[in-house]
Amino acid sequence: MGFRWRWRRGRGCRRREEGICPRMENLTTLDELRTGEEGLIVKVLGNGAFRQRLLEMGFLPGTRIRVIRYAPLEDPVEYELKGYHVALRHEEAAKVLVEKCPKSS
Amino acid sequence: MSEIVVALAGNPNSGKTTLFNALTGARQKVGNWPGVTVEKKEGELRTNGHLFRIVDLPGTYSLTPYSLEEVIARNFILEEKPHVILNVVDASNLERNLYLTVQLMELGRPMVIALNMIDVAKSRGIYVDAENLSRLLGVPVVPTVGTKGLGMEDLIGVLIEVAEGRRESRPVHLYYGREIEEALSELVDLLEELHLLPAYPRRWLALKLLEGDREVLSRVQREEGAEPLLSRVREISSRLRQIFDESPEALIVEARYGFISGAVREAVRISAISRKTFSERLDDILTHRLLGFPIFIGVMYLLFYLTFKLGAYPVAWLEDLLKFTEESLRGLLPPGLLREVLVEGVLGGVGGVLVYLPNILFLFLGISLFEDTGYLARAAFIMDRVMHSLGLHGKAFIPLLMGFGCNVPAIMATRTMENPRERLLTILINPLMSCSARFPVYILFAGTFFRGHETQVVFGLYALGIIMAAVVARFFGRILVKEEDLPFVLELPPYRLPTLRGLFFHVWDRTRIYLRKMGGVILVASVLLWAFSAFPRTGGRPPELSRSYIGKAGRVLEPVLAPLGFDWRMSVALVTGFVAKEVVVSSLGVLYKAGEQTTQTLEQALQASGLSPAAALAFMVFVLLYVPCVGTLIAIWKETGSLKYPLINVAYQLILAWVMAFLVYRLGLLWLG
Repeated sequence: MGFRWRWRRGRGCRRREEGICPRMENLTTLDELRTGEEGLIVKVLGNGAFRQRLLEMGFLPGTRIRVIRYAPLEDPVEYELKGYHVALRHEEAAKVLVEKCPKSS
Repeated sequence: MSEIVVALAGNPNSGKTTLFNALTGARQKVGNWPGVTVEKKEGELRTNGHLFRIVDLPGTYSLTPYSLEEVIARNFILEEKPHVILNVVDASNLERNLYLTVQLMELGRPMVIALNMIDVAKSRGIYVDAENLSRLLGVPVVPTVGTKGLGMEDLIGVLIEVAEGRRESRPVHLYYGREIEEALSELVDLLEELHLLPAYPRRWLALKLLEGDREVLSRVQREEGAEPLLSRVREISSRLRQIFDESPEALIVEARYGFISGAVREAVRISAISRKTFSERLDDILTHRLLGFPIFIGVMYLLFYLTFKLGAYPVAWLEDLLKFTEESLRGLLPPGLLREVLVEGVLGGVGGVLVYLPNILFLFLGISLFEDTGYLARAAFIMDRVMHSLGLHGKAFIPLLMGFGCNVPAIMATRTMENPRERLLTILINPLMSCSARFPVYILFAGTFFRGHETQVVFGLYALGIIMAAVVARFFGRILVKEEDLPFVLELPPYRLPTLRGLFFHVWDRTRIYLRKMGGVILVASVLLWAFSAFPRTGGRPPELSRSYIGKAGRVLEPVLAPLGFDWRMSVALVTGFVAKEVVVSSLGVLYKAGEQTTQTLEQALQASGLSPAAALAFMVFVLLYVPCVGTLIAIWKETGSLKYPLINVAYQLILAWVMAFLVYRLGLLWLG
C-alpha cells in the first residue's frame, strides 16, 4: 500500500542468490542491457516532464524490465514492462538506472 | 428527452475509437478543439428515450499539463462537467491503463469503466474479475469487446443508471501514505478557508499543487489572496523532499501505481502462458534486424503501388467521365463566359478535387490498415533513427513519404502523429517532398537541357528537397514553441486484426474531410485563379495568357526573378503553377509556342529561346521549392486550424527557392557556362 511498496525492491530478481540489492557491480543504465537481458529499475534520472512521463509509463523503482529487441538501425530499443511493450531511444534509456539481473538460463 | 453528456477517455490503443464508433455509428461530428490543432470528435446516441452526446477526448496516458491533449481532456471534464466519464480500459494491459483511471477518479465526476478487449486478455491468459475491480475502485465496470460490439447494451444501461443517479459511482479516494495525506488535508482546508477556485474538486487541486502542476499553479496565482497557500505548498514540498529524498510528484506516481498493483493483484488472475504470443512471433519477423528493413520497404512499395498504380485505373475512368461532361457542356452551351466558367473554372476545379479521389481513397485505406493493425508503430520503430537525425519522430516518415505522391493527403496523414509540435513540423516541411505534379517540369527541362543525364538531375532534385526538409526541420524545430523536453515513448501495441467496420470508419472519416473541407475551398480557389487567367476580356474573348491578370502578375515579378536567369514567360508560368505545379508545363507550352511555328515542340522552342542550362537547372530548383499549390496550402490551413501556417509556408519556401535557385544559377554559370 502506498509508497511503502517502493522499498520492496528485489522481488523481481529472486533468482539471484547472493547479496543485497542493488549490488553496485550490477548497477548500470538501461541502454547498456542487451537483447533478452532483464533488469530492475532503480531510478529514473533527469527531471521535469521527461522524468514524470517515464514514471507515469511505469518506469518505477522495483519494476522489472526486459529488452525485447534493438531496432534494425540499433536505435530505438523495444522493452517490455508491466505487461506491455514500449520503445525508447538510447539517450533516454541512458537516464534509467537499472540493476541487471543475472542470466536465468 | 434529457441529454446525457458522456466524456470518453482512455489510453491510446485501448480501443477507445472502436468503442466510440460502436456506440455512435455514423452520427459523428469531426472538428477541432477551439484554438488548437487537436481533433475533436462528437457523436450522438439515441436509445429508449435517452439522448447521449458522447465527446471523444484525446487518447492519453495521463493528465499532466505537459501535453496539449492531456490538458484538453482534463479541462473538458473539469469545466464542462459531463454527466458521466466513460473510461475505456484495455483489459490485456490493465496496470498501465489504470494509471489514467485513478487520475480520472480524482476529477470528481461519476464514472463508468468499459473493461475493453476482454477477448484479447483471455487469449493471453488474463482473467479480470470485473465485479471485484468495480468494488476496489468504487466505479461500475462493464466488460466489453468493442470490435464485436459486445457488452454495448450493458454499457448503455449502466451509463443511464449512473447519469440518473440510480446507480452509485463513487470513486474511492486513493490513500497516498501518511505524510502526503496530512499535507493534502492541510491544503484542502486552506483552499476552503481562502475560498480559492471553488468550482474545482479540492482534493484534486491540493494534489496538483503538491505535484507542482504548472497550469493549476498559474491559475491559483491569478486568484486574490493565494499567497499564504502557495508559500505553504512550497514548505510542504521541500519537507517531503527532505523526508523521502524524492520529488512529491514522483511520490504521487509511485503511490498511484502502488494502489493499482494492489488492485490488479486482487482482481486479475493470470494463468501463466509462457509461450510467445502470435504478435510477438510476428514482430520477430517484421522488425527483425536484417529482414525488418526489406519488409518495410516492400510494404511501402505496396502502398505506393496501391495508391498510384491501382488508383490510376479509376482515375482514368473519372477523367473520361469529366471529359465527356466537358464535351456535352460545350455542345449544349453557346460559346461565352458561362461556358468558360463552367468548363474551365468549375469543371477544372471539381476535376482537380475529384479525379484524384481514388488515389486518396487507396492511400487512406493503406494508412488505416497500418494504423488498425499496429504496423504503423513498427514503421515508426524502424524509421525512427533516420527521422531522429532530422529532428523528427519516427511517425513522421509515412506522411513525408506520401508527400512524394501528393502533399495534400500526406498532410492529412500527419493525423497519426500524437505530438502536436512534431506534427506541425512535419506539416511545414511536407511541401519540400517533391510531389508527382512537379515531375513533368523536371522531365521537360532535364530532357531538353541535360539529355542523357536526366536521371542524375531528377534524383538530385529529389535529394535536394529532402536535404532542405532536414535543414528547415532543424530550423523550425528550434523556433517553434518548445514543449518541455518530452521523451520519445513509443508504445508497440500487440498486432490486431482490423475489422471492416473500423477500416470503413477510418477511411470514411478522412475522405469526408477531404471532400467537404478541402473540396469546397479548392473549388473556389480554382475558379478564382481561372478568372485571373480569363480576365480582362478583350472584345468579349479571353485574353492571351501574357495579357491576363495572372500574366501581368508574372511580368511584374520578372525583375525579381531575373537574377535567377528566368525570362518573363518563365515568371508567368511560375505564377500559374500556384494552381497546381503541373500547370507550369502547359503554361510554358502556351507562352513559348505562341507565334512560333506550330510544328515546333516545346523542347525545341525552349532550346531556341537561348535559355542557358544553368537557368534551366535553377528553374527546376525553384519549382521544387517555391510556394505549395493552392490545394496544399488549404490542407495546411485546415489541418493546423490557422491561416498563420500556410502563410509561413509561402514565405519560407519563396525565400528558400529564391536563394537556392540563385546559388544554383550562379554556380551553374561558372561550371556549365
